[in-house]
Amino acid sequence: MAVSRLLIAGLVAVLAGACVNGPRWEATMARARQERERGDYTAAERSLLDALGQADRLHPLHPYELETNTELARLYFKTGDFAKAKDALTRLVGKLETLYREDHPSIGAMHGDLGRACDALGQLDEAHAHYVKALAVAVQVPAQNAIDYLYLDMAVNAQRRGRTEEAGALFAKAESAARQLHPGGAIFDEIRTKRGR
Amino acid sequence: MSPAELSPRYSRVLLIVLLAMSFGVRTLWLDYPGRVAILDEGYYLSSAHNILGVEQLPGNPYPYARPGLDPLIEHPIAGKLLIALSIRLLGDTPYAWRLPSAAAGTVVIWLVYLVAHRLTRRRGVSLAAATFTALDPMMLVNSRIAMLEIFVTALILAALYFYVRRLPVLAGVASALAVCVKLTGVSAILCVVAFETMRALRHRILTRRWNVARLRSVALTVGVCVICVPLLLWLFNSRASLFPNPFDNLRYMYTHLAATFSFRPPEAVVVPQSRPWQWLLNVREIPYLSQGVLHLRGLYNPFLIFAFGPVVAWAVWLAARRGGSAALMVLAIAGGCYLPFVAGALLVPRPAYLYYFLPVIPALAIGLASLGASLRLPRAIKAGYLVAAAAAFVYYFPFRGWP
Repeated sequence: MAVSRLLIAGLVAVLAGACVNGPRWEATMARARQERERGDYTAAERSLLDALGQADRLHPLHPYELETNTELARLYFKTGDFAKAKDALTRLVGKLETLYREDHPSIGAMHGDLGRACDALGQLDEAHAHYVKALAVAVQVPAQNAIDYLYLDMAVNAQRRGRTEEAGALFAKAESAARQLHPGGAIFDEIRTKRGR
Repeated sequence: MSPAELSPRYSRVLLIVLLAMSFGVRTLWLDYPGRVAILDEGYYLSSAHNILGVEQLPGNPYPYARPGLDPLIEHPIAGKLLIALSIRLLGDTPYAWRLPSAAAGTVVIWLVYLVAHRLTRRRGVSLAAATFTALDPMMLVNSRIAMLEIFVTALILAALYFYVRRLPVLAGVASALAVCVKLTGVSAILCVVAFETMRALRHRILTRRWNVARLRSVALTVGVCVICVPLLLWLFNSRASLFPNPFDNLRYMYTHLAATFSFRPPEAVVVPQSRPWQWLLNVREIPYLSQGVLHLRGLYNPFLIFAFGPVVAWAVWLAARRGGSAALMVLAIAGGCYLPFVAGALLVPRPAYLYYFLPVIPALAIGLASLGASLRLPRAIKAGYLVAAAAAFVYYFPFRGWP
């Protein structure tokens, strides 16, 4: 009798816990956003990790889990903590690929971001692999996934890997795409600077 | 002749006529206005199309769904599989999308008759209850669109019918199927437990003894449901779900239902939200579709919904005084299908919609018919009420012309 009561109490606690975690997550995320806007990135990171803990108690594919990882990755890019950004993005891509096909624009964009994080960490070959995946999606939705910037990042990556010819071709593609997507934009200066390097 | 004295043959003919007419208006011009998804139909049709791997409708909400899998993971798969099965058998036409709903809507009316007859033993009352159900505009609209509410309502009623027929195993299986269509189908079990608890408590108060046989019956229903939900989910999920096992699927759906308040998909269709107490006022209409001569309005028949207070008051009085099974059932359905939403709305800010009240309509219909039969009023007044309900049905009838 005592065991069954304990089991029922446990079940009720678990079921009620899911109801409590939602509002708690929302409050924590709102706090994290305020802290980030204030420029208090340390506090924002702490809040986002709290939110991730609350989302973890739901389901790995729960939208809150996905949103928290996205916010964390954004924050880490802002603070230059690329290793942590890479971790958050890797978690995110894994979950999104369970839900959607690989040609989902968000998955493509995240591969692009993963490439940038790997580049910043000096993991050039891994970055290249992510860029290739990002490009496969970006050619289908060039404007949405800013294919000109992707070509530019790929070109710089190729340069760093010592593939000069490949880099030259990618710079050219970046320029050509930028003419259509961002005519007269700052990307042309970036291309010139990085190509010169 | 009073309705209570209808002969079996006469009542059977009337029931068949009612069911035939109901099925007729549920399937009438079901393909109008063409290959257009109505409200949230878009999600369920996209899901069915993706499972079957057939061409999607324009504006597909899941353009990047993994092929062959059900992308709408907030809801169990059974209802979507039923729509997919209809498309597989009849072709990808609006009739195939919506025929399962039309059939379920007609079955609801039949089940209302069966449940009412089982509880009241009066054919006239049962026919009146079935007629009130058939005359509800929200019931009609939900029987004409490929959404899940009508399937859940039919399965909840099936579970209750099996339970009052003393078939607790079948009641458990029907409850499990309701859960496999939509998590709110758990109301079937809540209704059974509420119904039996009220009966058992009354028996206990009167005799100072528990009726063990009845408690065994409810325990069997709950037990079968608890075992069948994961089994059926596993069976239904086996080919078209991304979840590795039914428990993972249940966990996702429960946490999604319990904890997602502010997250909205970017292309979300804007549907008027309402609080459960507003449903009793028949406000926050659901504008399903208004195109050409079709005006699908999501509202209840005022002659049913505004009777909620009197019907519940009558049911409480009768249940306490005489323990009438029909009154207990009305309270059980209201308790199992409506009160959880009230409690939920008080605890968490989750969106709710007017059509969530749909499973309570059969209870209102049974209660209203029983209340009407128990009142010593001239037959003209009773008939007048039914005619008024029919007039309201005609007023809300979705077609305003010949397509």
